[in-house]
Amino acid sequence: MGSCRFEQVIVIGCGNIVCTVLLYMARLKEKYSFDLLYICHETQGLNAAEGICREEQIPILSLFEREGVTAFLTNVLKKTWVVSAGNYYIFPKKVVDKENLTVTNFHNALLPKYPGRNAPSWAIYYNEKESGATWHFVTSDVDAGRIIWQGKCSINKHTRAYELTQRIMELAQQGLESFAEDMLNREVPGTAQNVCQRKMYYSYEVPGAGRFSLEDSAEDIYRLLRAMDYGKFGPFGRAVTQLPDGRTVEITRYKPVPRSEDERGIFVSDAQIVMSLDEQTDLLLKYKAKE
Amino acid sequence: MEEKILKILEEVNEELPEYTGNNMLKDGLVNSFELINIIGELEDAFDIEIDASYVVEKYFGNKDRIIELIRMLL
Repeated sequence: MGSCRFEQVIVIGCGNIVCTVLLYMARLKEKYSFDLLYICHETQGLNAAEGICREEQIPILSLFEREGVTAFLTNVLKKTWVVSAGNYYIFPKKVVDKENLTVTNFHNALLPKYPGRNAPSWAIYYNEKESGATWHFVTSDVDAGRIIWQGKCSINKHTRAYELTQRIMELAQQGLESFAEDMLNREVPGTAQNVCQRKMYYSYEVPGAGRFSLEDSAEDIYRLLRAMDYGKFGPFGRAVTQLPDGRTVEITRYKPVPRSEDERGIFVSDAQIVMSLDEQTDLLLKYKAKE
Repeated sequence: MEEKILKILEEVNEELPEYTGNNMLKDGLVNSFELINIIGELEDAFDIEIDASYVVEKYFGNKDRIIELIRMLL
């Protein structure tokens, strides 16, 4: 059995990433013999974490109110590592300052760039060529703590927000596996971030305000749509535009398709818009009247 | 129609057409990102819109439920 400086590990968060964190921590628990607990603070329609906890016999604490999480963490007495992933609970100062707690968080961008919410969307929207995963210590300033680990991935001209999110989560898992045992064994210093000129992204902010004009370039429209695309459960809803006849419509589907007409331009018909994306490709947009 | 659906599922995970459980997500055959892809492919293949309210175990638990859903939406 390995030596471990923590008596307890608490995992908090939701979504795919917390599932991989729980599975990995359950493996480490066998080796290091710490107590493992999952705090379910927020659920997503597709969260499989509860099933994993049942299978791995990890106790679940469901605390859907912020105050409940804060009260619980404030009263933790054991030397504890809190692993936050896919988590929207903001740790208050009185929690992160507790001497017996070490709080770490996974962020889905290369901090100090794109702190806050929906980072993959902003990276696509601002035409970044790469993004990545960051594990960092948590301080009372959001996404500003010392960096423990970062991994990069590329963004290409077709990458959609959910695809980038998936890639970043895969990186996050690799990252956790590369530093977790160090964290259990010894103090990990991390590297300070330069947070002087950063812009924080909030949940109410939407790339391009979720709107585009048919006068925008097809490339810009495609980038906006990719930045907003998390399938059916996205935080942004659908992108909206105005047709030449004045109707406001929302985009239900979009995809690049091989060029079918010789002529370039914008073609609006009953339920779709076709516009030239490049020499060989059109951007096909399906729309419906905005509800 | 069934063949088309099975092909879409098979492209994500070749075990999906044979899966007989009730929740392919919780049983780990697909993750939520792959489910987004499946939904997009189904919408494109059948030119339909699948409302988010249908993306639950009742309609997306296994291949038979997906086939029933598409049949209902067509």
